[in-house]
Amino acid sequence: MLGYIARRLLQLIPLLIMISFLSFLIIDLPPGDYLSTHIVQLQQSGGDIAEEQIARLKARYGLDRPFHQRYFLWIWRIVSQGDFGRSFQWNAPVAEVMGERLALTMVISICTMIFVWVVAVPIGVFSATRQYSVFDYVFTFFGFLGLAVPNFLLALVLMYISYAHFGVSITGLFSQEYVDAAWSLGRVINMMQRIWVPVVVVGTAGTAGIIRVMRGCLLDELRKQYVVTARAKGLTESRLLFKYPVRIAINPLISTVGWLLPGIVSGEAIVSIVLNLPTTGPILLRALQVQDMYLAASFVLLLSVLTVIGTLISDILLAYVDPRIRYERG
Amino acid sequence: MAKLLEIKDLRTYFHVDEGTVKAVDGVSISIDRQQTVGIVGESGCGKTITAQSILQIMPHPGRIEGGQILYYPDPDGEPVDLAALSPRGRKLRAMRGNEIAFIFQEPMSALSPIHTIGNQIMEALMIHNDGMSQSEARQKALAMLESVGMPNPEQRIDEYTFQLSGGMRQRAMIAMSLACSPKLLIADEPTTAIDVTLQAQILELLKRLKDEQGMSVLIITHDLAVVAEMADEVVVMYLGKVVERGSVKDVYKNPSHPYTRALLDSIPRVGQERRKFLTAIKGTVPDPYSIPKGCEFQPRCEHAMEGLCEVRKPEYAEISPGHIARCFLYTHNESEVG
Repeated sequence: MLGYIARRLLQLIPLLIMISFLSFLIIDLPPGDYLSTHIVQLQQSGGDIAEEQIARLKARYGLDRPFHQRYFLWIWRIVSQGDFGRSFQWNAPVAEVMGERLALTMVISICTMIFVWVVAVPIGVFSATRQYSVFDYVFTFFGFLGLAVPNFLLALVLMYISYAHFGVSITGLFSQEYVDAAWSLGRVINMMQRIWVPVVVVGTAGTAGIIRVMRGCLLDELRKQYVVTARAKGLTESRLLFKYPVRIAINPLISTVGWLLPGIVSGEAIVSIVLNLPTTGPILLRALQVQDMYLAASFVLLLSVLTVIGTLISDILLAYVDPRIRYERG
Repeated sequence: MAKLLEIKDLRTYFHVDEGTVKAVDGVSISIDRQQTVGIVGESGCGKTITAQSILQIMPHPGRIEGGQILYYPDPDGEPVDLAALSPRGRKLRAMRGNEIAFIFQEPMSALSPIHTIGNQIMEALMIHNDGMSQSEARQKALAMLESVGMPNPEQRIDEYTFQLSGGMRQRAMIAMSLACSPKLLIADEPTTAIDVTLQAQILELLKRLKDEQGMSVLIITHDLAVVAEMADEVVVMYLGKVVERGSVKDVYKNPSHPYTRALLDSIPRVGQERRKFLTAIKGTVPDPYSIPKGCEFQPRCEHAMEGLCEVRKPEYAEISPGHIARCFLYTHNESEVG
């Protein structure tokens, strides 16, 4: 098991180097940069900008250097000082811009995942063991409905109902007095009162999907011979169900746990915009629109790294629960 | 000898959208204590469903629609009708694995791929022995693995099925089934999935364990040689019905039902005349939704009598004491044909 993990970690190194290079390259590919956009805007609004000021700005952001130098400088600062560069648009270090938003996004994502699993796995198991029952049909219907309705639409509907019928505005993660306040117990409680809205909105599609996956996998497993063997031993139906087929049917779900991590960063940008959530999604979108290159590149890098780490976590979990994977190659 | 299990007129049907499949249709079999009974027949003849009906572990939507399965826990005591018990109830669960145990055809798929064989054997022990500790169960499991001839049991007990060879898997399966010393062992094609060279070893092992534990064995197979090797009594099934039943000696020496004869003729024999071809049974098994109106075997039968076999269902005829066949060849008199 340890050998397996070590081998996987070693494989990560070249992969991460490639990813960092590619993410920087992609961000650099479109013609123009933030500064040229900025200068054009200044000139259009009648402002005049001196040549030397432009040169100074270029030097400050390293835009006068060739591509490879900029890349290595960027990587070197990340590795040595944890400095991801400056965001032009916010005029602040990238790390500072991402900071709290990243933390809040993680809270929402993890709550969403717990919500999805707690709701979806039991329903999936129940649906499979009572295939073609009324229960199964009802949840299949709601499952497809949940998959088909776009999240942002659900967010809008919830907001409308909440505002029109209860007079409560449920946008944002905090109420007015807590938006810019420092962290305190009151702020956490305030957040917890509102967090269920994005969790439910974002989780609906996920729940529906996982119900289908769980139901399908379990139906396959229930037909397998080892289930009959376990029954012939004299096990009760419920112990049998959870010890054998459910344990095996849940593997495909475990292999998708890792996808949660990249989802945290890009996570549900549209829902966040609609619900006005202080998460990372909207910033990423905006950074890409205005060519705020260091911010965008850092996001893309983070997304990719989290995807890789997430996949690794999934693989390790899977190897832990399934001996067939653990022993596959020594 | 005293009876252990008596199946009387068992009917197990599957009601599906296409119609009703009468997988087991009026089967009667009885097994004495310490006796080995073999059920033979082609795929789909209902032999496996008959065996699974005993513990009611047949696949969905199979249901016992009629008949009795009388199990005698004590030689002189009252029998329990297993067919009348609820398939999910406590009483039947207490029988499964404890009084009556199963060995399945494919040990690879019949054992869980993600649990060690030790875990699965210990589970069998701990279900039926309240208060047995983990370490006791492990000791017993090791002893079981030893007795089924598992090489290196101390190491193998913590291994998974995919780490074992085919023969070792089947030994692990047997160890698990016999862990609770059942009185009846049902072996469903125990050697079909195994290498020919290992088949003899596994059959020897089953024979030895049967004698050691004093249990009865119901062996299900399509292989007539396995039955000849193992069984005292043989039951030949065709399309959910018993067509011939008797001692192995009687049935093999004097096969009376045309189906049994055809089965025996389809096996190559050492010393058989070279130029003689093996005779295959003509035609195929009819599909289960359109069972012939008369005798089920009539469309494939060489001796079919026109105006009789395709019209009426045959009755059982006694060939010799304890040897019966379900065929008009032994019951009709010429005057009936017309």
